[in-house]
Amino acid sequence: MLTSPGVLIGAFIAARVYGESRPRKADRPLLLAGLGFFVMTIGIVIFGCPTRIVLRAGYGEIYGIVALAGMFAGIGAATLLMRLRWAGGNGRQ
Amino acid sequence: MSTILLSLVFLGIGLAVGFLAQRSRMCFVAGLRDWILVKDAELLTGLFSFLATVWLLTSVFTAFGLLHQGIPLYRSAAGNEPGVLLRNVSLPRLSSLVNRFFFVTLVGGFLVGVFSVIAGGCVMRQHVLCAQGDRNALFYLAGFYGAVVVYYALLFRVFDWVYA
Repeated sequence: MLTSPGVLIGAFIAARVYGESRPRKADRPLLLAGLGFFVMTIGIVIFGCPTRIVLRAGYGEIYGIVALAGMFAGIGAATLLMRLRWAGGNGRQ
Repeated sequence: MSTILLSLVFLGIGLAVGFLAQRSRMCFVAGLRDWILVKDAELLTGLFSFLATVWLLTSVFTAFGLLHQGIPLYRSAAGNEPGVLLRNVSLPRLSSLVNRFFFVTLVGGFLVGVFSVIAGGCVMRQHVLCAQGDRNALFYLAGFYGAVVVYYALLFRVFDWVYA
């Protein structure tokens, strides 16, 4: 299971080769660690992080398609919510 | 020996995927998000071409008998024969599909979508960002891989009801 280190190393090489290394300080580490925790826990329970959900859906597995539908709904809901919050923030300023 | 070889193959695949993902900024979550926010369909095209490629290649490989590895059988989750939609397998009854695992999958997918949008990218994108030097993504991955340990140490009993 060396795929994820491979992704890290490959992306690192690409970022170095094309000079796209963008160091960024951690401004909300705990929130992101919690998000990663939840995504992995759900990923173990329903057998798939986003990548594997898409793979399973493409494979034609029913539950993969169900999970993909749920994921699209979640992305849509969160994005619309985010836009509402942005709009509200701009309105107050 | 074959385990080592297989690991090296996985490493090579990971290298290629990481390189391409960094160059294309590919993300399975940002596609739909960008399209909703700013009507930018570039990453969404990537998502759907990924989906179409998986569909095509698994169909072709199955047709030529090259794909021997089926989807792992989930405990008591009915209707997960590989490629039900592609091959001439009789479709399972709808009522047998809608079990507890079905609803957990739907809700879980929803939550994965919400959390990924808040985090600003899917898991693969977080790996790429981490390799680019984003410390936020580093903490994301720490929580991500820490969850494996916590799950198999404590939580696997909690989620047993899902597969019952």
